[in-house]
Amino acid sequence: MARIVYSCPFVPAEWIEAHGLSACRALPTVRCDTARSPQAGLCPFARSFSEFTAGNDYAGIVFTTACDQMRRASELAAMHTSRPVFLMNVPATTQTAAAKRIYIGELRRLGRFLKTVGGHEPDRDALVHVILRHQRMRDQPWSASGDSPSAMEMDRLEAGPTLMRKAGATSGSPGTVRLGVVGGPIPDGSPFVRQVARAGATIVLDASDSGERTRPARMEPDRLRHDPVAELARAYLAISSIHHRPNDRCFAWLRREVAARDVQGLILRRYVWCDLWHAEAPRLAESVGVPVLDLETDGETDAAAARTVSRIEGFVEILVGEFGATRRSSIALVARS
Amino acid sequence: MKDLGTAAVLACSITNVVAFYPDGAWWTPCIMEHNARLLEVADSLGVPESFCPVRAMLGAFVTRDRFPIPDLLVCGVGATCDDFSAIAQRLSGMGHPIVWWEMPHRRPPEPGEPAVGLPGGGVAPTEQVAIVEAELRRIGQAIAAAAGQRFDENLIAAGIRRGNAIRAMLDELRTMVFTADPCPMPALEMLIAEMLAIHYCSDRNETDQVLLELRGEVERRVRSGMGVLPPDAVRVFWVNPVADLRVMNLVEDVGGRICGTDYMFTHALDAIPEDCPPMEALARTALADSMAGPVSQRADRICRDAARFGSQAVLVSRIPGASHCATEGAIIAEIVRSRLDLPVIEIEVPSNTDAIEPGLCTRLQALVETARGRHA
Repeated sequence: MARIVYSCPFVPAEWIEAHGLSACRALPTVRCDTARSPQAGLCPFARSFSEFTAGNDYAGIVFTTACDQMRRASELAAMHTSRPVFLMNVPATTQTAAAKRIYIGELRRLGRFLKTVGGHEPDRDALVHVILRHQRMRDQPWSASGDSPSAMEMDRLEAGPTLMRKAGATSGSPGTVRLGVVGGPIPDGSPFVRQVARAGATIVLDASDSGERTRPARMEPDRLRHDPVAELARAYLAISSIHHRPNDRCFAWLRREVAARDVQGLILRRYVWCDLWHAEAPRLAESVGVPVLDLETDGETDAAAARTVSRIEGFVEILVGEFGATRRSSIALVARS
Repeated sequence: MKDLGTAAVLACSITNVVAFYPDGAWWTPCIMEHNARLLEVADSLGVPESFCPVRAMLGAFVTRDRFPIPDLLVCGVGATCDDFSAIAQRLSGMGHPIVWWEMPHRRPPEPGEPAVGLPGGGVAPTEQVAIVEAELRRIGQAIAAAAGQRFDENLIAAGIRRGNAIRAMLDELRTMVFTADPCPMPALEMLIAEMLAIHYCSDRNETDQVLLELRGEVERRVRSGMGVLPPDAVRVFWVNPVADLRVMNLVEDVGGRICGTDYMFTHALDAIPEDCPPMEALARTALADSMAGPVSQRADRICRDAARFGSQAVLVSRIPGASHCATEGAIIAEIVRSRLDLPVIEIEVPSNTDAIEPGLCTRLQALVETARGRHA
């Protein structure tokens, strides 16, 4: 089956599969290539995704406009790969008629693109079936071991549970500091989870762009039967994203989940040149109610790893020493390098 | 904020409304020789120099001593740079309510899809024009409500005609200056004249007068063969505005002159259509924004204008930290070189170029000498 690759959570895997194609959400390792000078201003994740997709055998590559770096990387990618590239408009506003109209229009345009790369017109019943199958997979408890077929399928499509499972448990091991992570997507091969564990902490909330925050809303069965495309759009437009204007919904989600999971500290893991997350670091520190570590990353190198481990360890020490690992604090702290 | 030219026409058409772009604060550090300390304030708010110099706007909203805080803030988002979007969101988070409107990425029409022509020569799908039209109508209604007025599209049509008169005058001025030899008006003065088109510096009547007088002066100089630069100055097409305005003088100091520009608001220079309903006309203008579409289309326009004005070299001025600047320079350079066989260089211009001025001059000199060598 031909494979369609994407990284943005606003691309519905259900829609791709309903067209008879395989949906592959790629979160490639971000390598900091010291042999070349880094391109000033270019997001390392956008660069890695472009290079990864161009170097693999995909039938089509889907970028979105959810961030300007990806929007522009799509054009560069299209110039340097023979594979078909599709740029999907993802609205920044969410509560307007325009946003819904744009998103539904883009789903239909994506569908036409998928047909040009080997897909077929989706049958209405098949679409509903695929949507419900994904819904059931999302309904699985997050504490699943990750080795069931549906859990692995979910990992492939949505990536979020993988990070939680790698952390060892979703409820946090006794005696460890309970951390949340927010920010840019965390690559499949990232040592981040190991680094957190080594520092004596457990991730109990993955609010990164590859985590559970970016899951679509539950589909309403009646609406789904009436108009599956409109319901798919409604569910995906309900995702909380930092790129939304205003992005209050994203902050509300974070505050709610930080409290519900008893998170003791939040790591903002953002890529260098990612303005969307960078600008919000102070607001995060002010609003989530727990200390925040602002961790900038440009890729996976030994030097970067050592620096990251050191900073996470310092953060955990502060949480344990100053605020006590067993109680939550309302003191906001932004630690920067 | 951000759309640079379209919402201002809309706002200025409504009785008792004055429009201005706080975006322009990005020149304040340069003009005030950094005494306004706007960038330092932005630093203190966690928006450091990895962001584009438009972060000065954030500082200006905090110090409140650069411009009056507007009664209503509207901001285009979607196909815009992340820097601006992120900074505008911070403003919102700091308690400045913003009415956001969606500016989708301008995409090429699909085969057989209904499309309309845009100012500047591009096309856009009719569907996208309709979406932007609805968004602008929503913004127009919000502005009218804030001013205690009724939203009247007849007034918008009149505002478009008035705006087009200014754009036409500016077009005449640019054409005269970019094609006359010797150059009758320096680059810096022309950059400021172009900026008037964005929001008339909040005074349409004064803008009329300034452009009228500039045009008269240029006509007089052209008639008498007077110029401000040597006749053999190399004709440079300039891409992107500079945060440090002195750099516009540097290119002239090393033997160049500006013949063609894309300061990121070419859509504010082109005539707004008058053969369609006013809100559709504004939507077409908004979608013509070179920053809202593919860079390759921006490069198309640069090639057309460079050929029209006889440019001998193209200079892409990178804005430090701006999300579009990481990739656009390479694409523009590749297209310009392949189509026009012109030398292209990319420079980076921060808000203060004191420390890098010798290096900048060397690069500008290299461009000018290369272009001159090719045309010798």
